[in-house]
Amino acid sequence: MYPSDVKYTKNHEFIKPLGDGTAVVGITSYAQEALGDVVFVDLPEVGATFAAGDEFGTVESVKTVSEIFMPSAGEILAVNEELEAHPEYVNEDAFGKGWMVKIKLAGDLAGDLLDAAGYASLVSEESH
Amino acid sequence: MRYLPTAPSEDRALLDAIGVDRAEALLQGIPAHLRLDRELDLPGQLSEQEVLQQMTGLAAMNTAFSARFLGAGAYDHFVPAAVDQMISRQEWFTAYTPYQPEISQGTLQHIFEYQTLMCDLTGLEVGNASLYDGGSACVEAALMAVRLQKKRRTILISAGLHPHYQEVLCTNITPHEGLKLVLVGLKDGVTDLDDLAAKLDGDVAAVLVGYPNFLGSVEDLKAIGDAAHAAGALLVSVTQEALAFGWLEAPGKLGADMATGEAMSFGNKLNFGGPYLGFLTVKDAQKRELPGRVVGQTRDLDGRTGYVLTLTAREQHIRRDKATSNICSNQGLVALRANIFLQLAGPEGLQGLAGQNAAKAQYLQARLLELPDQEAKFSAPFFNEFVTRYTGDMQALQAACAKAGILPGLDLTPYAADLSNCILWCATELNSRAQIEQLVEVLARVPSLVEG
Repeated sequence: MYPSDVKYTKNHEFIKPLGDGTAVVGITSYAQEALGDVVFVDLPEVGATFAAGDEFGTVESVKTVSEIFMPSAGEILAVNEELEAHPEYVNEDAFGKGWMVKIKLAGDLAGDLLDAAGYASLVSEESH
Repeated sequence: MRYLPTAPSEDRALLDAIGVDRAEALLQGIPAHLRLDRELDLPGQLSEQEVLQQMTGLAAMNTAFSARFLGAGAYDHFVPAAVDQMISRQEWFTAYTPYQPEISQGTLQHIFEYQTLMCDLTGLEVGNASLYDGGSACVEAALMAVRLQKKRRTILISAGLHPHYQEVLCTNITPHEGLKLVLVGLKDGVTDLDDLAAKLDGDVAAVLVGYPNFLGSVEDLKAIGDAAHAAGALLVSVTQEALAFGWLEAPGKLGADMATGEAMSFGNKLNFGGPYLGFLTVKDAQKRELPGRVVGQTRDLDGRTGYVLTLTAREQHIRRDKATSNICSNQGLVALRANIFLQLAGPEGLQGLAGQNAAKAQYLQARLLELPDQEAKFSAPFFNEFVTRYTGDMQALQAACAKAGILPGLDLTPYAADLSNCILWCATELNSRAQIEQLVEVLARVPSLVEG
């Protein structure tokens, strides 16, 4: 149900390592569903650096605004500029064209990330 | 909002329903030692006629000036009777923007119109539903600039900004850790571009400049904006006399990223200093950092035009401690007066009125400078306020004016060392030619100190 080539945080972000020291970060399909229709995504500037757990942006839906936190330390290489005109991509394809930032990893992935099975059980606990 | 009267029998029914003997019993939760166990120390009851006599007597103690030449942030303009008439509908008497669009279309439409008018006048794209006054609006604009600029933490303030606005900025910005206010000096009554350039480093989020400034001078907004933008800073134009928008180029057209200030001049009376009307307009790309209420126009399911509060995810009922501001009300009624006034005036009316102000100020200056003890102070263009230096005895001048029922301009002596014995004069459409001649006549007879 959740892709196995990505890692997850307890705050419902995902990180997808690309194998070359870089990774793509976004929010999970579960997170976008809980937020409702996304209307705006505020993302950092290219070149900014973040530690694991740092707030790096916000997602605004018709209901609320949520902070998004960096799953692993790194430097912003690119942001998904398509989201400015099409914030709905986050709802339509959270793990794909709804990605938010691409980072250059500073070292290894953070140790407290969940795998697909671990995240699935977290979500099933939260939704019960 | 409806007035809902209750008869004693209905009060009784309400008390019975909650099982309470008398209304006072509802206060039992307050500890006895905190409750007042005596009557309030108030004077005895008076009849309506006696109250009226007493109040009339108090009012008679006021000094009423028949001719007024004082502005300095609070402007004496004509208010058409239609403004008072139209705001007198009871539905308007609330400061709160309504959450329920289904019962609040009139109020929401008015706010949308007000926002649109302020955008038109300032040459910017999105405005909010109003703020408390010019000073607090400056604070909101400065904090918004810091949010937009992420890591930049310094706010430059031109020394030409209204001194009261400067104080409100100090009070509100200083407690924010890491934020810094830096003053940019003046040269010949306008912002010193050399001092500005020297202080525009990579930490400056925004530059706040009066337009016109406190001394009445029309700043070169374009030059200041170019300097600010080259250093990556935003330009915030601050206008304390909004009628100037009928005469000057809109700040947004000259490079201002935000326009803020005081709009009491539109349809509002002096009101002993308030309530006044803070405004703030910004570019579309910045709208998510706006403080306060914003009303948007939309369509309902049947395709009819309607109005709703929009972009509410910025606000504290949703965003809590991360909200763009803790303001959740606005100056609804004061803004309504501005809206009615501006729509009554229309573009030509506003231009004509502003033109009259400018012409009368020019005439007043020319007549004053014919007097031997009044000197021009600055060379910058001005709208309806300007400064002269008086070489005579300021107290004698003020006494002579008071005796003649004239309120002269503001004595600037306490404001800055180089403004000693300077006067900030204001002329509006309310100052007739006869008033100006009378003023000049009175001033001509004030004994001069200089020769003595």
